[in-house]
Parts: sequence; structure tokens; C-alpha cells
Amino acid sequence: MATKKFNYNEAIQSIEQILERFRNEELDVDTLSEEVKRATTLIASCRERLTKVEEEVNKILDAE
Amino acid sequence: MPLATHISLGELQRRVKESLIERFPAPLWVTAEIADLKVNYAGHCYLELIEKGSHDSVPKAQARAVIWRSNYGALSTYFEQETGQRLAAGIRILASVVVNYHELYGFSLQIIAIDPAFTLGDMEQQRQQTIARLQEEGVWELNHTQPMPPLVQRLAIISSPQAAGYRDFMQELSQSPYAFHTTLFHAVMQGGGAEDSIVAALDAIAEHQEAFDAVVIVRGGGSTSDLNCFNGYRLCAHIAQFPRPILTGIGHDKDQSVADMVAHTALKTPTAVATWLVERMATLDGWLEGAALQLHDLLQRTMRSEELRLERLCQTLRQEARNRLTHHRLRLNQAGVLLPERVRDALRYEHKRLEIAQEAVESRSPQRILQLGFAIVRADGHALRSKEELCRHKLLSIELADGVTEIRNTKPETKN
Repeated sequence: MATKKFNYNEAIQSIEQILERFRNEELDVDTLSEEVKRATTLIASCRERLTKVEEEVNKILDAE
Repeated sequence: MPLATHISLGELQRRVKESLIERFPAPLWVTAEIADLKVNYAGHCYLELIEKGSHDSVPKAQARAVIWRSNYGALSTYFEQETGQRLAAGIRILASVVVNYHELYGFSLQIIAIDPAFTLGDMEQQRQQTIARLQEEGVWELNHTQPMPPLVQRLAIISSPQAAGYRDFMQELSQSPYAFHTTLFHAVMQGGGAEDSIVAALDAIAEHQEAFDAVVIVRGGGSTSDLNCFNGYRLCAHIAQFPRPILTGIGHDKDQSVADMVAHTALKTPTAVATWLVERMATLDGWLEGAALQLHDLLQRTMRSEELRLERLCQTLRQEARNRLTHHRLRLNQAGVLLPERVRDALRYEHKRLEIAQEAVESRSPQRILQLGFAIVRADGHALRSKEELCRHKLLSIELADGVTEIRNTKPETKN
């Protein structure tokens, strides 16, 4: 995923939507693996972003 | 007309003269007012004597009189010594006279003596009458109650321009450090015409009263002569009712004249009036100086107190600002402490969320389901969800955890 366009909130929303569909048993077995792969990727991206933000925040806070 | 019955003019005059001398053999004491008085080159004094009517205007009797030179010097000196009054028009006298008659000059009186006591009494009587009348008419105090302005600078002066007193007055003013604006109103200050002349001057000043702070009447240089007009009712009434305060320096050391009594301020001499004016100016000057000092003091005190106030305000402001800054700094400090905590909490929360999401996603992963021992049965690339579907296909693809295998359906429906 292109990091430039990455938007954490949108990614989280997408993940929530996929989870919602899981809960409602809306998912097709055929598309399931695709969705899981997508969700996993989004989660990884979010993690990455979160870790980066965390580092930045810590740097800023420690600089004070 | 019979000739025997007439006489000549000379004869008539002679007879008149004879009968007069016969009738008035000795000198007589006569009262009269001097209407006119002249001393000729030879030193003889010629007078017009009159007796006035009841209204002080039209004479009801008149006669010429003479005091011969031989008599005049001693007589007039004595008179002046006794009365403080020169023999002059306007005064009343009691004179010892000899009746004369001359064929050419007619009736006349030769004055051989004058009783000063009568004139004194008459003058005193006139003085008392003037006082009584002014008091009766309620004007006695009027000029006294005229306000004398603090600054007496514009002066209307009534005097004879040649008078020594006027010169003394002007000199005294000019020697002072103050500027006086003087306007001279000419007046005759002695003799019969003096009263009318001074009244006329007062009238002239009254027309421009706004231009003057006070009126000054000065006269003489201390010589005791002819003060009678200053006791006259007309002049004194004018002075008393004058709309500006009047100062007198009439120059005499006997009794005060009525004019002095009704004037706002009476002083002995013209110089004394000038001194009084200069002193009044000096008092005002001093007062102004004091006031200026007070003003200066007050200003300084006010400035100082205002400065103090500003300083106090400034301090308060600084303190207040410091308090606000401290307050904000404390809040920031608090925020500084809280921020990392909050941020970290938030981040932790996000991690948790992602973790939960991952678990949920993983639980749905087909790989995991296959590992649990489930299989996906496909035909023609589609997952089959029912027995019925299964019966329709001969060739099936089975996906297990470790791979896909193709099998032949031995129990296909034979319907088709």
C-alpha cells in the first residue's frame, strides 16, 4: 500500500467493515481469503503507522 | 411842566447821597453771599454781594462792594486763618459795611471788617445740612458699599491739570513698579464754580464707567483753602451715588469734608491716594505670587501622587501578569505530564484494537479452518455448499490443509 496515501482512520474503518462482515457471515469462502489478506495487510500498515507515530511522539516528548 | 419844580440830576444824586449818609451814619453789620470777587492791579478788592431767594437760585438783592487795599491784606489773611477758607465767591459772610453813594457810580458798600465766626458757622451749618440730607435720603453709605475690585488699575482722575497735587499723585504712581492707566477729567477745584465743575466731570466719567475701576478726586498740595464746595449737597450726593468706588485726596488736615465722608475711601493727600493704590497693587501681586506657589505645590503634589499611583498599578499589573504566567505554566506542566501518558494510552489502545482485529481476521482464515480438518469441495471452480450441488458434478476438487486433490464422483445423479 502506498504510504503517501495511507490514512489510518480510513484503514481502521476498512478493517472494522471486514470484521463486521465476518460477524454477519456475509463472506463468501471464495472471497474470504482475499478479505483476510486485505485486512491483515491493513492491520500491518496500521501497526507500522502507529509504531512510527509512537516513535515520533516519544522523540518530541523526550526533547522537551 | 413848571420850571421851578424840577432839579438837576446832580442835585438829585446829591440829595440821595445826603439822605443815605444821614440815614446810615455808622457802619452796619450785613449778611450776604459773595457772588464775585476780583482784586485789581492796584490791590483793591471789588465784590458782588447777593442775597439769594428761597430756592438758592435767583438773587433777590444785589450790591457792589469794595475792600480798599489798605484794609484788604490784613482782613483777608485774618479771615483765612480763622476759617481755613479764602475769601471767594460762593461763601456767605457777615461784614461791617459803610453805605456809599457816588454821583457817578451809584450805590456801593465799603467793607471795613468781616466776622469769620459767621462764615465758619454758616459753613458748618451747610455741612451739617448736607450730612443730614444725604442720610435722610438713604444714599450716605452707597459709595462705601460699591465693591472695590481687587485690581484697581484703570483710574479716572478728577483734578486741575496744573495742580501740584495731581503732579504728586502721578509721580508717585509712575515710581511704582506697576502699570496704572490714568485718564484725567479736568475740573476747577476751588472757588464758586468748583462744585458744578466736579459734578460735570463725574457725569462725564459715568458715561464711560465700564472703562474705569475707580475714580480719584485729588486737589491741592496741603494748603488750607476753599474746601467749602466739598461740603456742598450736590457734589456729595453725586459722590455718594456714583456707580464706581471713589477715592479722595483733597488735601487738608482739619475736619473731614462731607465728600471725604461719603467717598469709598478718603485719604489725606493726593500722594496718600497714590500710595494706597500702589500698596493695593502690591498686595494683589503678593497674593498672586502666593497663589502661583500654591498652584505649583499642588501640581507637584498631584503629579507625585499620580506617579505613585501609576507605579502601584504597574506593580499590580506585573504581579498579576506573573500570576497568570505561573498559572499557565503550571497548567502546561500538568499537560506536559499528562500528554505522554494520554498519548501512550491512546497508542496502547490502538495496538490493542489492531491486535483484536488481527485475531478476529485470523480466526476466519481458510487456512486455519482447513487445518482443523475441514475441506472445501469445488466443482468447475466454485465451492459447493449442498449435497444436491455435489450430485450434479462428476469431477470434484477437494482442498485440504496441505493441498488440492481431484476426485471422481462415483455417485453422480443420472438424471441428466
